Amino acid sequence: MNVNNPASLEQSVPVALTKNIQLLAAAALGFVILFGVGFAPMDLAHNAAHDTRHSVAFPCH
Amino acid sequence: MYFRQLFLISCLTALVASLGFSLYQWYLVNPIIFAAELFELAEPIDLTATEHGLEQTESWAPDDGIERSLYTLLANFLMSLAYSLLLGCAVVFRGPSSTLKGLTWGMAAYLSVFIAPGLGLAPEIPGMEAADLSQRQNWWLLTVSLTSIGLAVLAFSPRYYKGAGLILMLLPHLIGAPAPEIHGFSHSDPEAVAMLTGLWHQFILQTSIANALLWFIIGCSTGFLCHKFIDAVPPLQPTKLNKA
Repeated sequence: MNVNNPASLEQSVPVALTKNIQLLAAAALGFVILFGVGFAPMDLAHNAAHDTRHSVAFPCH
Repeated sequence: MYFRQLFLISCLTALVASLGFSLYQWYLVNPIIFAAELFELAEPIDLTATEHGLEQTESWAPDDGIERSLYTLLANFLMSLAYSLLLGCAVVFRGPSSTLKGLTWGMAAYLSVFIAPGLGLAPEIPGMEAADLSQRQNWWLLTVSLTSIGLAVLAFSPRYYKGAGLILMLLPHLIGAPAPEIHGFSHSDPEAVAMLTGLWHQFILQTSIANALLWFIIGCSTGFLCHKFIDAVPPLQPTKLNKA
């Protein structure tokens, strides 16, 4: 981001903000998927992802 | 724009990482799980339990063979996607990325997501006696969070605060992982227990290598693709449009 340019100074704040919001959204999606694969307590999710959970050492059973 | 780019980058990374990880897992990790399951099945089944509620207690599971492998591949893909999304967020948040930076982040993630919780809760094969599941999950989450925050403090904070990072990383191990009353295998035959213990040691070695491979691919690929598709493309700025 070009902070030295006074014309872009006004715009730089919203751009940085939307960047962080988008990063947060992407991280939230990552957490939701990770929970589904690694931690969801339903038997269905556990059985489908069983070998993956064991191989990456998630607490299982 | 960041969200879309990160999602596509993670999909590409997850494709490569899950294929690499699944191949290693298929040849060197899964055979250990299957062998341990044979011992699990050989244990005497509680007949009273099966007579009453076989229909209710037995829930769906993929059939052994190709179906089970495909579900494992899918789960590997989704897990790699999630890991790559999280890693990509961290890399992009810190500024310009590169393959080397991605690899460094990947190794830090390997330390905090696999090695640190593994010190307290070693990877387990089916049939092992273990402590209460939710307690283990809580300790796992605590350890992963504190280790990653601790590593971040060590890496990015001024020198005076680096000690705090070390303390954060040590804290979950001082609290201690939840341990079951009897750790090990509940199998009645001592020969089987000896074999299972051998399998377990092999399993710890192979999963350590497999996860290092997974994080190596995720780290390098996420760093490289972020550099190529996020750093190289300037964000849309109205000021630039005005100038033109």
